[in-house]
Amino acid sequence: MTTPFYKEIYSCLKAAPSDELDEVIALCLAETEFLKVNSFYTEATLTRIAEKEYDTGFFRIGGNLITATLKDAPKAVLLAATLGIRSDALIRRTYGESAARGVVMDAVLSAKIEFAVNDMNDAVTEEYLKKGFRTGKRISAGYGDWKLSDQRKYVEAFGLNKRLGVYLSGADMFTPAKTVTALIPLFPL
Amino acid sequence: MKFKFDNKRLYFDGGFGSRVMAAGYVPGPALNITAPDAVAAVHVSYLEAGADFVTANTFSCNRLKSENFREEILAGVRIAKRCAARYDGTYTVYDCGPLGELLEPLGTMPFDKAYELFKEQAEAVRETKADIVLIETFTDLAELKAAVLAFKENTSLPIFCSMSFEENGRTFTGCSAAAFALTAEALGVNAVGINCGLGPDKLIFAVSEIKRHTTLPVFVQPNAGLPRYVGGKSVYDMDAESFSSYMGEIAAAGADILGGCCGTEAAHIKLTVQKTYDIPLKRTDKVDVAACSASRVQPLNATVTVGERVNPTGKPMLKRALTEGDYDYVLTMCFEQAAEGAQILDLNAGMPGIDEAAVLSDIIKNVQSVQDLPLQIDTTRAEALACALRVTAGVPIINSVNAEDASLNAVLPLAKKYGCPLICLPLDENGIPETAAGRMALVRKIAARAKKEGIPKEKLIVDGLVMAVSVNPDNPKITIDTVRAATRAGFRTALGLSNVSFGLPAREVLNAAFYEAAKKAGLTLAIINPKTKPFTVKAARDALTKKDEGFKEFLEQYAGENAKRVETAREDTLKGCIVKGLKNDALQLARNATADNYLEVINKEVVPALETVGVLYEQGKAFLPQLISSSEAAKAVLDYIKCEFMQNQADDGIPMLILTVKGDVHDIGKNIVKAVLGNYGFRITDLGKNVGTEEVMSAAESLKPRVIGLSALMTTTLDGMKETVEAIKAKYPETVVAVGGAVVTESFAKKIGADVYGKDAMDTVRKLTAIFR
Repeated sequence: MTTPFYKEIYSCLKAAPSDELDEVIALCLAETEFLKVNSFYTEATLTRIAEKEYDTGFFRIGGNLITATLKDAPKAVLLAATLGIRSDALIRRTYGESAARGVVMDAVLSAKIEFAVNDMNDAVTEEYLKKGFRTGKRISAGYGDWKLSDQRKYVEAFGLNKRLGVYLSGADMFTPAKTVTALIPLFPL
Repeated sequence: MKFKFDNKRLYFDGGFGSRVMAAGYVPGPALNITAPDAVAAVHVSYLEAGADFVTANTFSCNRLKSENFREEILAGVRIAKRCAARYDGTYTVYDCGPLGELLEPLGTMPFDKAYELFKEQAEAVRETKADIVLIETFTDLAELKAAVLAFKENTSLPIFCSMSFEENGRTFTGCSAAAFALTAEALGVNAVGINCGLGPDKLIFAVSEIKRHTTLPVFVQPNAGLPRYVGGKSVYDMDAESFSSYMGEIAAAGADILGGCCGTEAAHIKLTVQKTYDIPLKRTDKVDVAACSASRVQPLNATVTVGERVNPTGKPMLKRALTEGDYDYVLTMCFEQAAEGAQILDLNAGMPGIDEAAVLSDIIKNVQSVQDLPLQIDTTRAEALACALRVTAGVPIINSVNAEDASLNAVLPLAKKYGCPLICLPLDENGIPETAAGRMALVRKIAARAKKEGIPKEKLIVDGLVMAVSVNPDNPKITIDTVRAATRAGFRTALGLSNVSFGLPAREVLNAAFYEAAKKAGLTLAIINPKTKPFTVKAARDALTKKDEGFKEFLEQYAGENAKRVETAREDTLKGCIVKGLKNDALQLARNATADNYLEVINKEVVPALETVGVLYEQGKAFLPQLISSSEAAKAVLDYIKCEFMQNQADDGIPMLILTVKGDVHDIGKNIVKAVLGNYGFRITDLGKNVGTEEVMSAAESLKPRVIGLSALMTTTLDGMKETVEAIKAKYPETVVAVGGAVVTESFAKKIGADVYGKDAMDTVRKLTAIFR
C-alpha cells in the first residue's frame, strides 16, 4: 500500500512494503476499530519572559527548540490526544497472542494517534486561518531540547487525568502509551 | 452523626472549585488553612439550598499532591463539621479523590503503595469528626479497591464510593457500571454512585445499570453539562432549570441520593431538591449472584464454563513458566481458553519451589490487564488467597473451602470481606463421604458456619466432587446425586468434570456424557478444559433430533475442526513449519522427538530453519512478521524439548539485558530485536523504555548479563546512550554492549565504545551469534 498511513507504519517497523505485511496490518487495523481518539486543545497567549523562556498562561516552557519555534508567534495552540487505556491492553494482548502481530499492532496504533493529531492540526489550521493566523510547525516535549518531563505540565495544567484519562508515571511515561501532547505556534497573517 | 438511609431522599452538595474560583481563590485543600471562611461560605450556601451532606474540601489531600495533607484534612473536616452542626440531620463527609497515577499493570504504581497513600489519609480522618467517607471520581477499579480497603481497615466510618463514566457506560479504564456496583457492594461499602464526567442527561443509562446490580442506596452527582474550555477555564453551560429537570429523570431511574459536581452551584441543588423530593424511592431487594472482572459480569444462574488449564499439576511447561516468571505463557493459555468459550478463568499457581502468594498475585495482575473474563482463584493456602483477593479487580470466585475447621476459619472471613462466591468442598479430616447424603451433611456444616460469618447461602457453590469412574463405577452417580441435592437445597454447584474419565481411553466421550447428566442435575460451574468440547454429544444429538435448525451448531463445531485439519497439512517437515512460522504445526511435529534424537532435531531442523528465514529476511524475501513468527515457532519447539528432555540440565542461555535509553519512549525496534534474539539462545531480561544508567547498572549487578542491548530513536537521547555505555564499560569491560535504533550509526556506536552496532534485528542477531558461537 502506498497511502501515507501505511508508509508511517512501515517506517515505525523499519520494514519494506509487502502484501503479507499489509495483510497483517489490515487485520490489526480491524481490531482497533473500537478505539476512539479522545482529544483536547486550547489557545494560549504567549509572553516571552526571558531570552529562551515563554509563559503560555498555563505553564512556562523554554529552550532552543521552543525559542526557534515560537519566534514572532503571539499565540499557540496546546493540544493533547490519546487512544485510551484499552489501546495499551490491546497491544499487550496482541503481543501475548503473537509477538509478530504485537509489533505490527504497536506500529499501527502509533500511526493511528499520529494521524489523529495530524487531523487536529489541520482543523486548527483551518480554524485559525479564519481568525487571521497561520500555523507553524507542531512540536512536542521530548524532541530537540524540549524536556520530556514537560509533559507533566500539560497533565497538571489541563487536568488530563480527569479530562482524557491520561496519566504520567514517576518516570514521565504516558499511560496510555499512545498519547501525544503538542504545541502549534500561531502567527498573524 | 451515624449514617442511616430509610425512606427519605437525601441530597449532596454541588461543585466546589468553580465556587471558590469565582470568589477569587485558587482551588485546593490549602484554602482550608489559608481561607477557611471562603470554604465555609460555599458549604453554607449548599446547606441553605437543602443539602444533607457537607463535603469537606479534601479531594486532593494525599502525600503525592501535598506534604501538608494531614493538616489540610484536619482543617477541612473541621470547617465542614462546624457548618453542618448548624443544620439538623446533616452529615459531614470526608472527600477522597484518586491519586492521579494509574496502578500496575495499567500504570506504574504498585497496589500496596496506593493502599499506603490512602491509609495515611484514613489515619488522619480517624482523628476528625467526619461521619462518612466519600471515595469519588475514580476511573480504575483497582485503585478504588485500594481506597476502600484502606478506609475500611483503618476507620469504622460508612463508605460511599463513586466512579466517573463516559457515555458508553464505562470509565476511561473500561470499568463497566455493573462491575463497579457489584464490586463495591461485595467490598461492603454503604452507598454507590456516579459523579463528574458528564451532565445528568448522559447518565441515565449508567444509573439504571448500577441500580440493577446493587441493593445499596445509589447516589448521582453529575456535572452541569459538558465542559467547554474558555480562557483557561472550564465553563459549564447547563443551567439550574435544565439540570434539575434531568435530575428528575435520574431520580425516576432509581437514584436515591442526588447532588452535583463540576459547574453546579447552590441554585442547581435547590431546584433539584424542589423537583425531586416527592419522587418515590425505588429499592432493589435482590440482585443476581455473579462473578465479574472490571469490565464483564458473569451471572451464575445457568451452566457456566470455567477454564481450568492454568494449573501446574501435570503441566511441565507451565511449571517452568511459573518458576521463571514467564507470564506470557500463562497469558497465552488464558487467550486460548477465552477463544474456546471459557466464561470464567480458574487460576492456580500451587507448586513447590515458588512463592505462591506472590506468583498468583502477579498472574492475576497480568491476566486482568489484557483480558476481561472474571477469575476464579484456586488455592489451598489462605495467605496466597488473601494476597490474590486484594489485587483482583472485580469479584472473583474463591476455589475453595472445605468442612475442616482450619479451612473454615481461614477462608470464610476472606470470602465475607471480599464478598466473593465460594466453592465448598464437602470433605473433612475423615476424607470424602461415599454417599451424596454424607456429602450434603458436610455442605450443611459449611453453610451454617458461613451464615454465622454473614455469607448468604446464594453465594455458596457446592462442589459435587468428581471421582474417577474407573476406580468405582458408583462414583459418577454419587457426584450427580450431590449436585441434584445441592441444587434442590438452593445452592449453586460446581464440578471438575474431566476427573471422571481419568485412567480410561476416549475421555472426551465420557466427559461429554457426564457433562450432559450434570447439567440436567442443575450444574452451575463446569470446570473444564474448554478445548475438549464436552458439548459435542449435545451438538450431535440436537442435529439428529431436528433441534439444531440448519445444523448451525453442529457445523460450527465440526466445520471448524475440518478446517483445522486441512490447515495442519500445509507443511510436513519441522523445518518447513518453522520457516513458515506455523507454531502449532511445528509443535505437533516436535512431539515426534525422542530422548535419543532431540539434539538432532535441534541441529538439523530448528537451527537450519532459523538460518534460512534469517537469510530470506536479509534478502528481502521474508517480511518482518514472518521473521518473528518463525522465531516464535522455533521458541515453542525449543521450550517443548527443554521441558521434555532437558529438565535436569542447567539453562545455558546467554543472559542479556535489553532496553530503550533514558528519555526515549519508542520501543517497537527494541521489541522486534527481543522477539528474534530470544530464539537464538539468548535469555533476555527486558528493562523496558526510558531506562536510566542507574537502573541499567543495578540490573547488571544483579543479573550479570553477558550482553546489554540499548536502543534509541531520538537524537536527544544519544547523550544518554553514551553515558550508559561508558558506565557499563567502566564497571563491566567484559560485557558485550550492542546498540541500535533509528538515529544510531556505526560510527557513533564505535565512538561511544559499543562492541556491536546492529542496523536491524537480523544484523544484531548475526553479529551477536558470531561473538558467542
